[in-house]
Amino acid sequence: MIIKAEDIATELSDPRNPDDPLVITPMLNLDELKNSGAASVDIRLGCWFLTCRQSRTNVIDVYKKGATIPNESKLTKSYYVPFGEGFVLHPKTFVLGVTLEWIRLPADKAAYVVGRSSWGRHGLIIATATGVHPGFTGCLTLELSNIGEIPITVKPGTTICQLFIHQVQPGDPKKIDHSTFIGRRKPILGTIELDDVAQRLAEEII
Amino acid sequence: MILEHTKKRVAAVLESVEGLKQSEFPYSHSRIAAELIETKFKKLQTIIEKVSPGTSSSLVLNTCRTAFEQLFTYVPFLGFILRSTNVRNAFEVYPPLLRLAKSILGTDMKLVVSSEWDYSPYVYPLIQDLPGFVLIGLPAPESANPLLLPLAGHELGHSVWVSQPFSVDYERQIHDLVLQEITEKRWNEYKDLYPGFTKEHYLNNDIVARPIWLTAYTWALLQTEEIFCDFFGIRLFSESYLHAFEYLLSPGFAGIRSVRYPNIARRVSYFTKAAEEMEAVVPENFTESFIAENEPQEPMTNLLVSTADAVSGTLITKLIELIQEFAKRKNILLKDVNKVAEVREGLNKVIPTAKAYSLTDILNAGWECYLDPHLWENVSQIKKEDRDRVLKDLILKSLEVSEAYERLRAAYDY
Repeated sequence: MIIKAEDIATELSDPRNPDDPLVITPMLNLDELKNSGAASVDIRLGCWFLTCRQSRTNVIDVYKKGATIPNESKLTKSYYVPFGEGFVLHPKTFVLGVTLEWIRLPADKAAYVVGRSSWGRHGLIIATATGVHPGFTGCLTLELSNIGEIPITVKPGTTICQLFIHQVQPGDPKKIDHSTFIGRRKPILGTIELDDVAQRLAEEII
Repeated sequence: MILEHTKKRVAAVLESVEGLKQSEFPYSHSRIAAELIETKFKKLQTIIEKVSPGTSSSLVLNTCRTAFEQLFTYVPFLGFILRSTNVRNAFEVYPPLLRLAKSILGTDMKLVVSSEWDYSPYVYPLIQDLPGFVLIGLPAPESANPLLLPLAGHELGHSVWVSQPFSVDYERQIHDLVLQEITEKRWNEYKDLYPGFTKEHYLNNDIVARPIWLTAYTWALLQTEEIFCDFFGIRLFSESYLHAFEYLLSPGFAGIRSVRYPNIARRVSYFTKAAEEMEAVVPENFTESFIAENEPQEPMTNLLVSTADAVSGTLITKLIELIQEFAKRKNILLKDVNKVAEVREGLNKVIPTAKAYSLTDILNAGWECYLDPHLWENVSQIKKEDRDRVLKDLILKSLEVSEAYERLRAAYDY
C-alpha cells in the first residue's frame, strides 16, 4: 500500500514508533506536504555530484576472469555545487547526484524513487524506480541523465524526484537493508557484484 | 636581465591566477581573494612595464626587488586558495563557520577555509592586500573530518587578537610584567648571567640590555596570544575544542618545548581552568594524553623562557574574563546541553538534525557519539569499520540541514 502524503507528514511530525521512525530531513515545507493531496514526497537535489572519468577507464568488465574493478576515486570525479550555483547537464551525459534529504526508513516501510515528469519532459531522467529497502538510512544516490537535446542546469535544493513510500510487513529486524549505500551524504558508484549463479553462467563451457 | 626575469615572473603569476580563476569555487570568497591578488599583480606589471631603458639602475633594482618580495608573499596564498577548492574538503562546514566568523569579526569579513599539507592548523589573520580576509588552513588528511573543526576556533582567536584594541593593552602590560618579573623575582639569576648590568639598565632605555629581556617579552606576548586563542576555542566550541586538540596533537613531541606556547603541562592546566569558567567538561585523562616536554637547558634561554612562562601565567584569569566579556558583547552563545542532547538523540538513531542547531551544539553531540564505545552497537546496518565514516557524514549532513533551515528561517518561521 502506498502511503499518502498527508499520512507521511503526520508520521514525520509525530512518529508512531519513536524508536524506529520514518525520517526525511530536511523537510523544509511540512505544511505543503500535508496539504499536497499527493501519494509521494518531493525530494530535492543535494550539493554533491559524481561523474565518470572517461579518460582513465577503458571498460568496466566484471566478467573478465581475475578482473578487478578500479576503485571509485579512479573511476569518478567529485563536484560540490553550493546552494545558489548550478550544475550543467549536457545532452547525452550521465552524472550521479544525491538527495538533499537524509532518509531513514523504519522496518515496516520501503520506497521507490521516481523522477518527476516535469523534468522528464525536458529530457532529464532521474533514476528508474530505484528501490529503497526497510532499514535504509542515508542520502540516496540519484542517476541523472539528460536524454534531451538541450543542456539543462540543475541547482541544489530543487525538487527533482519523488519518493513513493510503501507499507510493508515488518520482518526480522536483523534482516534489513545492509547495502553499502547506507549512511552516506555523497553519491556513490558502488560495486557490481556478481552472484554465484551469474558467475557460473558466465563460465565457458569446456 | 633582472628586469626581463621580473617581467616574466610576474606574467607567469598572472597566468597561474587566470588558471586558478577557472577552478570550481565552492564559495565566492576564494574567487574574490584570487581576483584581488590578480589586481595587485596587474598593477605591479603596469609599473614594471613603465621602466624604460633610461630609468636609473637603482630604480630598476628597487622595482624588481618589490616585485620579488610580492611573489614570495602572495604565491603561497594562491596555492592556499587553489586547495580551498579541492573536493577533499568538507564544504558543508563553510556556511556555519562563516556565520560564526561574521558574528565575531563583523559582516564585512571574508573567509577562506583550505586544506594544507601541514599537520598543524594555522591562520593568516591579516593580509595587507586582502583586507578583511581570514584564511584558515586545516591539515589535508583530516580536512573532511568535521570533528576537528573546533580547532578553527583557535585560528579565529588569532584574527580577534590582532584586530582588537585590547592586544595593544596587553603588549604594554606584558612589557611591564617582564621587567617586573626579572627585576623583582629573578634578579640574582639574571645578574649571575649578565654581571655587567644593574637594575637601572632594564628600565627601558639601555640599548645593550634591552634586546636581552625583549626576547622574554616577545615570547610572553606570543604565549599570551596562543593562550587567548586556546581559551577562545574553548569558549566557542566548549569541550569539543579539547577533544579536537587531544585528537590532533596528543601525545605531542618528546623533546624541547616550543617557546611560542606554554609547555604542554601548563597549557593543559590552563585549559582546565578556562573550561571550568566556560562550562566545558575536561575530557577524562586529558592531561595524561600528552608527553611532558623538556625545558631548555641553556641557562639564559631557560631564564628568559621561564620569565615568559611566569608572565603569561599571571594573565590567565584576565584572559578568561576578557573572552567572556567579548563573547557576551558579540552574543556568542555557550553550548546548550539540552540541544546537544537533542542532536545526540538523532545521531544515536543514525539520523541528522531535523532543524537548525548551532555549530557548537552539533560538534559537541558529534564528539559525544565519537567517544561512545557502544555507539550503534544495536544498529546492524552500520558495520563497525564504517562507524567513523557514517558519523562524520551524519555530522556534515547535520550542518547542511541546519544551514538550509537557517536560510529559510525568515520565510517559513521555523
